Amino acid sequence: MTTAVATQSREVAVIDLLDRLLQGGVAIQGQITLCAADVELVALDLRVLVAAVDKIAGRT
Amino acid sequence: MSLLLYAVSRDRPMRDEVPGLSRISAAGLTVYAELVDTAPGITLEELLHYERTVERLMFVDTILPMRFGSVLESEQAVRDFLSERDLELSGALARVDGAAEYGVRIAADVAGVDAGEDDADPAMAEAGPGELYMRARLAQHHRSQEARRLLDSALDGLVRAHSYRDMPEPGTTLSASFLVGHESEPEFRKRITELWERTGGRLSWSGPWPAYSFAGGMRG
Repeated sequence: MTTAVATQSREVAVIDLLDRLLQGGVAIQGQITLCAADVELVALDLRVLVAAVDKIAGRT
Repeated sequence: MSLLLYAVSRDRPMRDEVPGLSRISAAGLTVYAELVDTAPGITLEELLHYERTVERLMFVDTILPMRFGSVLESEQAVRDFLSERDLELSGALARVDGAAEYGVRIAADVAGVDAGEDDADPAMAEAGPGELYMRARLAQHHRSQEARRLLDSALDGLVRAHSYRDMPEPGTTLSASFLVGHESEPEFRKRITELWERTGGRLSWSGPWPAYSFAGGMRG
């Protein structure tokens, strides 16, 4: 079981969304307002959190 | 005001404009951008808004999605970014042209993926914490390798490129991204559905996505 959200064209798992938006894509450095390192840390925290929530939801 | 960047494409006339976005061009490339007061916060609402916008672009143009939160302070900064990285970006656009990304996640307890563990091994009862940790890591490695072989076998000759990540989070053995040509998408979905059935539903797949995992350097 996964936490799903609706994008423009379909439903996706939040964890798949986080993976792509926060760790994929063309990255720019130096002039980026959201610090790249911060984004990666947030991505890691969110992925672990979402995985934990999914695990709990799957047990209920 | 700053510019929030959504995607890079080739600089050419568009069939459809995307409301709210401007196009800033240099070196034969274009960035789709939006004027913003500040960078977006990392909230689900902002992430979904970003993804929905990138998906709209994906359906009207060949694009390289930008990483969420990429903000530059001026149009000149955007043009400098394009000019400095035009070869890399043009190459990536050629790679993703006519293709979409699909994601597959394989659960840690997927059927058919043997970790090579031997719980009945009497030596395990006397193993210290360090050895138990190393054995667990080895078992995870075996599971990831088996999961890769499972996917490689099921999708042989069908995908343009792949990107694998082992143990991306607890409960998942492998997260995979595949770049699939549009002509192969129906067959890809068919084979993944067959694999889903074979593994007792212990994998999930998603797509088509904008090619986030193939927009920059190849992972895995």
